[in-house]
Amino acid sequence: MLSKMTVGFGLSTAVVSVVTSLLLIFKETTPPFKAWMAALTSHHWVTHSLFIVLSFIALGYAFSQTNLQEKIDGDKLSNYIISAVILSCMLTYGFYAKHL
Amino acid sequence: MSVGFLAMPHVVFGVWGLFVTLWLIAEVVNISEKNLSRIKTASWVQAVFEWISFLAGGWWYYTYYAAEKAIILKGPFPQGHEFFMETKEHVFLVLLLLSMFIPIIVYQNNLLTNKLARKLVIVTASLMIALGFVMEGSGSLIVQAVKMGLGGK
Repeated sequence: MLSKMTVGFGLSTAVVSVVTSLLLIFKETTPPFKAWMAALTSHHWVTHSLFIVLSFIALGYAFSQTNLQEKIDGDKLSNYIISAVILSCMLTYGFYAKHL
Repeated sequence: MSVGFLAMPHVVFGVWGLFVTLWLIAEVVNISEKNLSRIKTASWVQAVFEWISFLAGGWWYYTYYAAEKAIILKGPFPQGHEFFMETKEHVFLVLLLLSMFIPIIVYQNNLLTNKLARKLVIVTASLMIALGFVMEGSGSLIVQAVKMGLGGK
């Protein structure tokens, strides 16, 4: 069985990987929101990066407080992470594909 | 000093991070009590290198990229910014998440006895390497777009 922290941060990696691409699409399609993100730190990408890193830490610790390690084994967690990374890339590359 | 040269730490540490990740995979595949300390070392060193690459690249992007972006957009290959830079600056964050997760797997599990934890390290590291190659390729296309924008061949 994997440790609580491994499952917690593994799930966090998967969730936040998808969240970052959804946040990207939302900010690029909602100019006032992008402007608000830029105003927070002087650049939208800096705010985006901070949000993603802090979300990874916060979600990782939150998931680590649960007993999800009893339900999620290494194979399941690997599949979640692979699927999330592929989905995130498809969303990001798909969103910008209109420029090709 | 050339502005382009200032972006080199981003590239160099990114590549070193990938090499260390490859080294980590090789050590995990051949795991024994003898190489456990090397596995632990490689797991955090790759994360440190990717963080340095991220901070160096982010600083360069924040400080200098606006001028190069204008050159790219006026040049014959605007996709250098519109597609390759836009995707690179966001997909790198996924790579960073994977690199931060690897030392957690290594330090929080007994890799000698836990086969699934070893597999998870290899899967995560492999994803990181795949994304790393995409980042390197995108970076070279962005540089090419700047050269084309400046009239170079």
